[in-house]
Amino acid sequence: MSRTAGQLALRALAAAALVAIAIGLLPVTLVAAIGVAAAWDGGWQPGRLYRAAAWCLPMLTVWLAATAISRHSLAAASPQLAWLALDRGRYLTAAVLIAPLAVPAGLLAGGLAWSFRLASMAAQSAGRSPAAAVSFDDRQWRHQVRAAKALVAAPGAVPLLTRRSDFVAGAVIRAVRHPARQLTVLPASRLRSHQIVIGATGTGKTTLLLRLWAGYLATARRRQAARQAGSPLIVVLDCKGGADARRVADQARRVLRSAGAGNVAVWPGEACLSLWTLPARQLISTLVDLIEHGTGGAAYYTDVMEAVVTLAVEAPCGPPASTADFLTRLDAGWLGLAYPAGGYEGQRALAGSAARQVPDIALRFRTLFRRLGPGLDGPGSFTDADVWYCILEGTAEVAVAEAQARALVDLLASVVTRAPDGPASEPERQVLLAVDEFSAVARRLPIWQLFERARSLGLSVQVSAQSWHGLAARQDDRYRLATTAEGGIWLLGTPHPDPVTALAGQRASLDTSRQLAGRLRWMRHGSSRLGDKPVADPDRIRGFEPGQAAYIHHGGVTFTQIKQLVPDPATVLPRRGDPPGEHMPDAVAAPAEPVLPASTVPPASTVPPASTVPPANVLPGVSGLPDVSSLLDAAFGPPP
Amino acid sequence: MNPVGALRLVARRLLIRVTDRRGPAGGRVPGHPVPSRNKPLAGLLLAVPPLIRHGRPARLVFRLVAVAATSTLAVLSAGWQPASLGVITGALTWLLCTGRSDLARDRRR
Repeated sequence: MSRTAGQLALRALAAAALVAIAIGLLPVTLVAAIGVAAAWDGGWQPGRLYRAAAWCLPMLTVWLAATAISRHSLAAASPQLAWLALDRGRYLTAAVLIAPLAVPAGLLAGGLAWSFRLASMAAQSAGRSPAAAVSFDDRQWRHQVRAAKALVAAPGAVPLLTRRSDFVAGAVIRAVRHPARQLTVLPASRLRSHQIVIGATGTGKTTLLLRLWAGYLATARRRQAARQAGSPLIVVLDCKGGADARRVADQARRVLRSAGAGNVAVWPGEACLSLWTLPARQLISTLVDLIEHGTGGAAYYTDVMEAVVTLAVEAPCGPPASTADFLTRLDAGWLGLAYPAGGYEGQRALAGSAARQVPDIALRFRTLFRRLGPGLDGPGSFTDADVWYCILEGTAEVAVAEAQARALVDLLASVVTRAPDGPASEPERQVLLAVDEFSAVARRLPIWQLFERARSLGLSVQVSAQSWHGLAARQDDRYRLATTAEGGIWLLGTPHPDPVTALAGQRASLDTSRQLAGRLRWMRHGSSRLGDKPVADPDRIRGFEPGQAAYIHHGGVTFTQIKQLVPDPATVLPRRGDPPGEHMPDAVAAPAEPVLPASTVPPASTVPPASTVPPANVLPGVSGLPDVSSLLDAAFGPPP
Repeated sequence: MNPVGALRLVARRLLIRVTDRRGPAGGRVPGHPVPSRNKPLAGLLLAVPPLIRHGRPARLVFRLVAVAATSTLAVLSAGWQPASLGVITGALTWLLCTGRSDLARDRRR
């Protein structure tokens, strides 16, 4: 009993001493209180108050220098003069006289007090109840979000790149085991590594992806200007398709043109690629893989098909130049004529033995190319544009999208591995392959295989999905992807963030229990033990608002408010007289009519009149585009 | 020595220096001009008005008024003392540190 009374007396004495000091140093106390209030309101870290105190050094220096010059001594008389002014009721004079000392000291004291408050709340030892720490943390989170939103809204406060060419994603809400800065700054090398983006619909995933692509492009342009690397190339595979993909493609075009892209091609709506530019051996492999095969007895037909395709592609007259050319070659008569007697006996024998299967193989390829459309029939190459936005209808037509994905990846691999056309000293191109919802088309090309292949080719790969499960079909593949994402993982609002947050690891934290003294009353006595707490709190991520993201990298997390990129107004609307595909070089612009073999083109009677056919390259929602008939007439001649 | 030839030589050397700074093949990357190292003072001063216009001019004016008011009050209440000089320095430091957030190169970014 006496011990408790003694403790109470000691505590009262300490409090009285503290109050006396606070009154004695009233100006310092006032500044400290203002500092703590500002830190509470803005959700600041104590470091910000310490930095503010450091910025008072010029004031302190000028004050000391002026004192030394005027009084020939460094012994400042301001405190005494301030007390005298206060005594005479001249409060403003007193404030001015004491400010050079009181402001830095107060900010320092405020920083210490705020640091103590944060530490005690983190240890759950402060507040009236143990739950006070939780509500304090939630309140601080709200304040931090508000401050980050204000920073993002300020014009020019969040640039795309820093002066050192580092990428800025947005404003920091809170950082755990990452540097506590105002802006989420990533070294440019992080963008050139592999990254993963996970976020459900409506959480700001597209905003983040556009910013990441624009950042990649802008840093790549700077590296190109400094002759550290070749020109950039971004290939986006949007594997879901649908009207939403076209809207995103349009957004991407505007944003990336603002970020320095010379031309942005949207495939297959507005631009084409040519499968027939692949090297012959690669072309055979790709063509055979485009057709879905069975197993068991069907392997026989696969072998026959490969033999026939090889004969068609490696004919002495050279590889096929178009779909029509290839389909013409899938004919026993053509193959027999293509390999003349004397020197090609083996091939002639092969063509003869496979003659019965050739019509079936031709039928399968004819069907495949009809479903694929003209997008892979050229002309055009990935090198013709800085950005390729490829829309694969993975939701509506899975088999077609799978074949397209396979062909596009092979084409990109071919472009990357091909020796540069320029001089030997020409630096390598910087290539980013961004795949969105690749799991929709990954049945025949597993995502990890794509990832590993891209890594081996020196590409940067960015995989995005709506959920952890959308990353890959199998759990092993998901973990394989996540653990090799050296550039970090971006996690937006998602209902199941736990597998990803687990990758960020745990951190030590104090878990304090307090003794219950009565109904809803807790004593300050209790015990603490060291426990583990997730670095990235999954509940916090579940409650993300749109535009908020957690960047997980190297066992730390930065909660970020993403800054939306607004395109240059000059790129929003097409210029007067520009055709809809004005961003495309002529070489890659989609032809006005599909280039298909005559056998696959429907009879003229079934084709609706030209006036009723909407132009293929008009984007939904964009009306009033200029008339391009004169351009088409100039390119292809007047209509019959 | 032919003076016209000498002038041409000097001009060519200057031209080479300029293009050297621009990077590969003339160096002009669309949308990303290579920043020059030597910025004349007049150029810097001319660059300020667009920064203010694209930023938050109202807030900047408020900050300027606050600094002016604080400095005036300090001098009026305490006279030209070391403390009032210190307060003026502190106010100007605050303006320099925080006023930058009210300037912007491009309002959209």
